[in-house]
Amino acid sequence: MITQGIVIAFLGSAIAIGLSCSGSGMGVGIAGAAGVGVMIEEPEKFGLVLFLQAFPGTQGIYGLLVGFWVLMKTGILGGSPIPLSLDQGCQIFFSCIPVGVVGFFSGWYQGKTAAAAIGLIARNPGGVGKAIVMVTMVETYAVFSLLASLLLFNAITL
Amino acid sequence: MFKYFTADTNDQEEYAFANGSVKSLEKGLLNKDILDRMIKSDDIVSALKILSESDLNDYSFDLNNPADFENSLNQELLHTYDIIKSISQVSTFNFLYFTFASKYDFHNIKILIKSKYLKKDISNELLSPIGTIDIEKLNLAVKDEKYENIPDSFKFLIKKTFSEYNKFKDPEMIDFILDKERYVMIFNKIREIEIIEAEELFLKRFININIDLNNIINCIRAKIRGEKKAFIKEFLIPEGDFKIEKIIEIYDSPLSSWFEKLIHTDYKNIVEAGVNYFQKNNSLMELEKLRDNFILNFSKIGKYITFGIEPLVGFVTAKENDIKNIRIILSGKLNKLSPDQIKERVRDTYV
Repeated sequence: MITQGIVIAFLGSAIAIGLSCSGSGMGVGIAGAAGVGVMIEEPEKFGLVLFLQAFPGTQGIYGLLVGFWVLMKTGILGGSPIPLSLDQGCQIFFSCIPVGVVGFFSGWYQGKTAAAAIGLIARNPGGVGKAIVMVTMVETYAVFSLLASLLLFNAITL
Repeated sequence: MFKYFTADTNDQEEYAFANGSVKSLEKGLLNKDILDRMIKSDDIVSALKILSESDLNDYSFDLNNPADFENSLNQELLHTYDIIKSISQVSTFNFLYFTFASKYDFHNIKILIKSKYLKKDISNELLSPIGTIDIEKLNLAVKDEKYENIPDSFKFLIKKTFSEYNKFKDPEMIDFILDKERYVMIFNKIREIEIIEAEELFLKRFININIDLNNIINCIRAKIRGEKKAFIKEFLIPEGDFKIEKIIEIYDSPLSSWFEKLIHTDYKNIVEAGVNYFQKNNSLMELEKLRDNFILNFSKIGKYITFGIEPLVGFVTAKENDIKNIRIILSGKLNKLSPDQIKERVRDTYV
């Protein structure tokens, strides 16, 4: 039976996946554009460029993880959804917000940092270690948001 | 909010691509170490070898014919402009390409008009292939007054230069007229492009610095030639940060005291040192060098910005500066100048 709670849980899952994947898409796009610019002159840097371009893609994976977990735990994925109350649905919805919203912005901004890092390795390939540290700093907050979403969701009694 | 958001993200991707290219091109810029080694080298061949054997693969010279370095430098500059043109897809970048490349159109027009009026044949080597308009089309427009193949703005400009020249009958006037018209054309173009506020500030400041220095140096030249105040009023470019009324005001005072009137501007030191050098050596070389260094140092902001027009402006300025430095060193070697004499002429480096 589809209850109001299930609909709200659907929305939560959609936000977790949709927003974080959008942020990742934008981030990977920005870093990719910078990478293509570098590879016009230096195609041999493809490996390093690809590595840095992939960083903003992780937010989408985190969102997908939370979204799928919601769908699994609520039985939506198996075809027999648990009849969630409105309260439970809202709890699930709010637990999805951190990974969705933070994933969107951190993916986007990590893309900018990755593009700057690609600029750094274009001029100075020896600086790749420092560039990775800078890009990873943005990742920290995406990981925090994943953790927050998982803890919040885990606290819900279904 | 949505409009801001979409505009911002679209531009970032364009900028990311262009700036990625620029960052990898920056690796080919000269550093002080290479320049110093070239300056200290024994002759032009060893200087060319230092350049060819460095990590910079941008330059290739014919070591059997070292005096022909001009051709290689032109090829390198042409290659740089080709890349800039290929990455200039957004309107702001297109405008930047025009701002830099049109300088060579104006250079070509000056040479063609002078050769027409002085009735001298010129070799094609004097003309630059970098401009936005094909040399043959410009040649047709200037020599035969056939304007079908050039933009209307240039047609208007050439006609205006003809009529102004006929008034004064002085070839040097052609330089003054065209220098002014170039900035008028750039300011007309800047109104046509969509540009965000921060970039507009940078771009306007960059252009204004060029205008101010152009105005000040042209005034110093006019003063040395003994021109009257009425003469400079005609050719000063009004758009600069340093108002032309102030330049006109100080024009009648002695050249050595000009810097005192510029005390609250960024140009005080340039004028003071440049005029001092002129009075001792009767040459404006130091003034021109200080002008170039000032513009280069301003554009160094491009090294620290990831998304924007600044890296592109910085790179083009730096590349032109590098080529100027190489030209100074190689001509110095060719004319048997001492390393100290060459060092005196060489500009700062971007890297």
